[in-house]
Amino acid sequence: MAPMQLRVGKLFAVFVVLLVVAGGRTFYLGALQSGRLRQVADGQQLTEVTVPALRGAILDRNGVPLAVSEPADDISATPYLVKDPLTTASRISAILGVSAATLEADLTKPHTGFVYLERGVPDATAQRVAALRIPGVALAPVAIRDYPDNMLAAQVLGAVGLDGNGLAGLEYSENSILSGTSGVRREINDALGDPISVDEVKRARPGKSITLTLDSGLQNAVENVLAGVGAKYSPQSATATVMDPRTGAILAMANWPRVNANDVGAAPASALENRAVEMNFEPGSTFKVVAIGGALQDGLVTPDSNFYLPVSLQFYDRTIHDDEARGPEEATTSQILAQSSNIGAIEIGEKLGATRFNYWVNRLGFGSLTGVDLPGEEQGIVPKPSQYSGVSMGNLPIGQGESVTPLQLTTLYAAIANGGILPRPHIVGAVAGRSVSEPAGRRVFDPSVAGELRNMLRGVLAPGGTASQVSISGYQLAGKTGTANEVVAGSAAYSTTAYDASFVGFAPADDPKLLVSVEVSDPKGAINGGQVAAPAFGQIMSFALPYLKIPPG
Amino acid sequence: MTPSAAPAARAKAPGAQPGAHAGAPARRPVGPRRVSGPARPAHPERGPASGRPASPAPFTAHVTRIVDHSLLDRLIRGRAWIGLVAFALIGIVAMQVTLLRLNAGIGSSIQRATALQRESSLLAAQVAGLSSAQRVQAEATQLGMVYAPPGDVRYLHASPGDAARAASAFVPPASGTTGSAGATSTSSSTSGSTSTSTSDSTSTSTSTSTSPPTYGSTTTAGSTGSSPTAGTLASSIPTGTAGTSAGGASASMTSSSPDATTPNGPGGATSTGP
Repeated sequence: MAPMQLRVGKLFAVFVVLLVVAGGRTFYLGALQSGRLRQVADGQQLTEVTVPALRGAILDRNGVPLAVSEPADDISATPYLVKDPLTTASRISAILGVSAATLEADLTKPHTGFVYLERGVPDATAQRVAALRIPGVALAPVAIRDYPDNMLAAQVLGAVGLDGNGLAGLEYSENSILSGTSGVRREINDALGDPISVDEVKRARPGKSITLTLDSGLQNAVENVLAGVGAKYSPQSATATVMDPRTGAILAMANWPRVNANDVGAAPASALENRAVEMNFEPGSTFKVVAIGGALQDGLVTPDSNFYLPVSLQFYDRTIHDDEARGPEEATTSQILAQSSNIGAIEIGEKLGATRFNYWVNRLGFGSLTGVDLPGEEQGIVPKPSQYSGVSMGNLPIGQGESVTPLQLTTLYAAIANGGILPRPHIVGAVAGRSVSEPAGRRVFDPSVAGELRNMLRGVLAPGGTASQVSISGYQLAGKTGTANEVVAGSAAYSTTAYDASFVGFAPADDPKLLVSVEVSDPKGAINGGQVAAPAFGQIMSFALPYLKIPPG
Repeated sequence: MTPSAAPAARAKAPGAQPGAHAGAPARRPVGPRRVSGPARPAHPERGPASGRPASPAPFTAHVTRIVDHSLLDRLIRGRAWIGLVAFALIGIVAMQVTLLRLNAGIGSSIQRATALQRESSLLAAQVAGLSSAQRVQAEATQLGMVYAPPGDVRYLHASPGDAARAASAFVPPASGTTGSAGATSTSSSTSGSTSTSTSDSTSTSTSTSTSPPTYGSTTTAGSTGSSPTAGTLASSIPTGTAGTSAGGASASMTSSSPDATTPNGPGGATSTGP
């Protein structure tokens, strides 16, 4: 064989060997190692990103946003990928405002491949961190909740957790409507990490917005009034509700102390309660309309029925008398209500009898939920006739011995104001722009009885009434004061120093279009509803009537 | 073959006649000479001897016939085929590149859409902050606006003819007055009822005046019906009319003229003039 042919043969053999090696390597990588390598490649080239769904906004009745969602990012790190934790911590610290020591501790945390450096960072700030392009530091898009008014209706709106779920208030009760569905996006990146293909595996579906019956301007005014009450009387708490008595729509629901909805963690737990629905209290004289209304409806009394009122009544070991000292006298039903006579209310209650009185208590919605679309509603504590003691009918008709919520009381007066229909209070007016049908109420008084009660309640704000100092030029007002001893916590005894002062009223008295209730717990310096709560009612009405363009009447 | 072996081979040659001279050359066989050439095609129409009708040709025969077709043969052997294949290959590559580019375009569009959505959400949050009732009321207070005491607000009773009378009193806005195109003013009157303002995105005005007022203009900005919070500003309303309302439940003003007030205009609240 010629040398030339030999060399060609050797070269051929080399190529054959190389081909075999390459083929073998291909088989090894493509067949034997394919699964693992595909995973690695996916990790490098394929990224699945969760696209957070923006939570629906909460708007007031005029479309003013009360709660909105805005994009943000969770900033996390993989500690073992961060080469220089000290420098990294100081660079990120300057942007996030978190101490470098804290960040460094996170970045050097042993035995973990994931740590959050900061959650819910506003987008603009997060993008500054992303611009640093620090290996091992990653951003994950999320949405954060923002309450533009900070303090406004914080207890009503509630709060949202870091995971985007409602934790309290409307955010909690309407969570299924407000929260959307997060999407998933698959990105294929090139060698530089830039996406060359983006595929929306699952489209993010934003939550629906809800429109409340609340009016933010009115809400703000009511909260300001309560803040004034808080400053003047230093009560334990206070709450006020403004309602359209014709529909049961809640126009404002305020609580004091105020809470910053953007920082609920800083507030004490008690301040986070929406006391209008979550608090039981003994109503005192505002409850007298139950006995009087029931007796009127049952035909047992008329507004002009005369009653002899002794100085005091004795129920076993308890002596009951009116708030203001007086001698024996006669008074009509109207006068009993206007002057808030305990003796008179008890006599009317006795005229009804325990069974009928209890019937009217239940009929008027006490002891059961109002059905308002707010979470955490209490139903009150109403004893059954079988639980009555010998002194019960000396207590219950004057609003002691039973507990109600401020909203239950508000709803009762709405029935009186609107002609006898107990409305179902509601606060959600529309979902995703579609009006929610107004829940139907139920008739509890004949229109004539409701009209009689309205007239009688005007006397409370007339000269000689318990809230005669409250008036609004051009408007006829009607309402009822209430003052009740608080029960000492952990005992069955009444406090002699702590009282609940309340007032529920409406205007214009002839054709009520607006109803306001105010409840103040344990005010200092004054205790009577006429002194503490009625002026607040007057201030709220003074603002609300022209604000809502309700003409005098 | 070696020369010595030839006789033996000849002796064994087939067709050798018995008794022939051994030295004589072998004779060629008698008969017609075979002629080379293509085989004659079969005649399917003749069919088998049984006389049954001819069965259709099998599929493979058709395929074979297409493959053997002279046109295809010419096409494959021709130069046009090269161009066709080259064009198809380039087309495929171009299509792949286009597809890739399209994918990248879709990807960047999705990312851009996401970025815009985020920006939109941020702007919505800013709008929410700016329309905050607390902020607007504080701004209005700083501007010296106050709510009118309830007793200072007077409401007019509209009679059936008032709307027509008010409409006829309107004159086109003079040049230089503020206002926006499309701003409208409507009047609603209900017999025996108090005038109300109801209109989507417009300020509704029902007013009476002893002298026909020159209707200035109203500028509306997203006011809604009976909304007292939307921003609305009525300006340049001369004698006899008043009524402004500031957005966001802020203060507004009324003329101190006793016979000329209007409760209308979103914002509702009125006050005596500054």
